[in-house]
Amino acid sequence: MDIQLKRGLIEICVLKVLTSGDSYGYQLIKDISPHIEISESTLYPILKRLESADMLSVYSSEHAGRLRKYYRITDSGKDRILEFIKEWQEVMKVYQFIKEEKYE
Amino acid sequence: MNKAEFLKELKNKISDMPYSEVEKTLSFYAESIDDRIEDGMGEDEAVFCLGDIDAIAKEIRVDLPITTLIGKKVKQSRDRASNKTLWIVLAICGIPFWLPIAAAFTVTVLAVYFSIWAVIISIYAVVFAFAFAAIGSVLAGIICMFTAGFYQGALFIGASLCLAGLFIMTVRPMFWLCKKMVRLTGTFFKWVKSLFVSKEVKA
Repeated sequence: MDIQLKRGLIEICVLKVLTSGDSYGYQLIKDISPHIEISESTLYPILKRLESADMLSVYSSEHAGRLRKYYRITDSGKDRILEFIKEWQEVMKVYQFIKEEKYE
Repeated sequence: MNKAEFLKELKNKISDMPYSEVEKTLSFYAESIDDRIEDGMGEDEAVFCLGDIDAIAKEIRVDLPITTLIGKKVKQSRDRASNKTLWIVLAICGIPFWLPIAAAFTVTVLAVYFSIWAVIISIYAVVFAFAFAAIGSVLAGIICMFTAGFYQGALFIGASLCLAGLFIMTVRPMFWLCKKMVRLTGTFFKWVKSLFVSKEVKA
């Protein structure tokens, strides 16, 4: 898959996972990896970007004697998901159009 | 490779980055290793799952501000030159050559950037000029009706309707076009940045 497209999709996947509750790095990877290939090196810059775009907020909480960073979705993060869904309805139309042809 | 070795190597590879950035990055990866171990993985396996350390360092670097990237590139080439004095002498003697080249590069990049923005501003100016002219014509039309006569006034109001129509027709395509152009500046800036990121590691 095209790397930019993949990054864009993972961004939305992160936001989607966070809509069902706050989460942390490794849990996000576990939740997203059944749907799209993801590793820490891809996730980390995405989390940073989402944080600086104010789509998620970060806080630390103690877990098993160490600090763990948790991520929480913001309102603009939720708006981004809706925007994505709207945009992709158009993409899916194009996809259907391309798929009509038999490429043998 | 165990956790301590991994973190040490990663720290070395990104040591030229701002201190707070290095700390944040290391704590993110340390946390992930701990979580994987807690999940039942062995330490070496947990580190292995994080992927190639060079790829990790590159991913982090791409997101850095361009000034830091240029600074790093300069430092790299300076380190590569074994004789530091020679490098300094060359740098000073070479001023007539590299200074104009660097200046030309900077000016070209800025020129492209500003040109794109100039186009965006002019598109806005044209479209809003339609709107202002429409409002102006309505006012002129009303005044004319009382001073110059009904037909002259009607002419102005007709013109204002045409202008308002032009505004309504162009306003949406204009927003679309401007959005694309803002993205274009982003893409251009990314491309300039990519010139300063080494291509040794595949993305």
